[in-house]
Amino acid sequence: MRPIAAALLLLAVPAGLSAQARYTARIGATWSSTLVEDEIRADEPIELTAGIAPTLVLGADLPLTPKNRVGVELALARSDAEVDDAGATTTLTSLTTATITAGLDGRVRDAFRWRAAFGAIKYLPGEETGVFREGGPWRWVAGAGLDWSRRLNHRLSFTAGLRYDYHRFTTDALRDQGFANPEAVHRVALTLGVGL
Amino acid sequence: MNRGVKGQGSRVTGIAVRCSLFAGMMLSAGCTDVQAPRRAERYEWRLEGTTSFHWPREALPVRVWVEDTENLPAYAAAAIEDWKSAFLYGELDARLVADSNEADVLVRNAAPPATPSFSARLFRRAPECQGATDLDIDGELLQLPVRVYVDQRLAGAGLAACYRLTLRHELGHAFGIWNHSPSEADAMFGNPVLDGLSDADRQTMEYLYHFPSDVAPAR
Repeated sequence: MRPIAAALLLLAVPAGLSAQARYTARIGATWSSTLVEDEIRADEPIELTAGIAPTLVLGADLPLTPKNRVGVELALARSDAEVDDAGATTTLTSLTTATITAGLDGRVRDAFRWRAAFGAIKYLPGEETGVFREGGPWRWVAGAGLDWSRRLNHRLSFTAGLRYDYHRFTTDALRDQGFANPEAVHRVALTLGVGL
Repeated sequence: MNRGVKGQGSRVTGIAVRCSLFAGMMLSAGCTDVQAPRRAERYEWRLEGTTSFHWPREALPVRVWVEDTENLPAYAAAAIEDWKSAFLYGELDARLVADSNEADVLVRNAAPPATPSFSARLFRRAPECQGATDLDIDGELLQLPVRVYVDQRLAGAGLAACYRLTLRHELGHAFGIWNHSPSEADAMFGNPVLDGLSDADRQTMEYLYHFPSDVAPAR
């Protein structure tokens, strides 16, 4: 949890240091590609997926240059880890992901800004069972995004964020079971909120 | 001045692009398709080579009542965790319960009845203790509860270990391995010596939960 604590510290510190700090809070949803693909009996595929996850994103950034800003984002997404076993779907456990990234952003045109980020994702299963029986992993994550914002008044702005990120998923239980390579996981999040 | 600022912004953008490309390369280093394990180390688990059983999802968790003596509940709890570790997708779950009337599996510290009315008995004997699992199979129904017996044959320093590995073995039967492994390297060998589970034990248990069941539990 140390990276999350460090991120929260970064979120708090600029408030007292700079009037140019910008804070955002957004809510939305995250879609994730398959976490595990398996086949225990021939021609009966098994997939572990995280369902569409309600998502909270908190961010803070500071100007780096007149056109670019540097900042951190913490995204919390909560869903169920669902097993699709030869067509039958069951829930393995609830699953929260905490993603902390540091990134740069810049203006594209008009109210649009790009963001490129790198950080880490932590999987937090509700119950240590199945692929998560030895806990949830930390994994490196890289991402990119597009933000759109519109000023509501002299302090508040409305923001919409589209995020894509990529990481490689595995767990200790999967490695113990002989899985040779982590699964490439792609996620897309769409969030709406306010900036301060 | 403006050109300088513009140049600085472009430089930062360029750095961001290069950082993103570098991060992507780091993350995708060694990217190949996921390779699921082969799981080829399994043995025959079916009763008489034909009858397969596993607890259906809707019957989980399997409720196990254990007579509170000789530290048997602790051994049973450890055995349940051992068997659950064979699974990645929650195919098996089992819990200890306090009320024997609501149990799916009963574990008693007693010798098995001499003349069972059951259709199948899986029996093992070691110097210090013995164990048996009685399955009452009526056509396509497994009449509950499954009855497991472990009891002492000889006093000795190895009694605790004997109870531990015998209970793990008998719960393996209760959870679906209705046969014995031909290898003494496995916990499900007829007269087990392994204090733990082998890869073959785990892979057999995992595989049978993805194999069609011929009988269903019933009360």
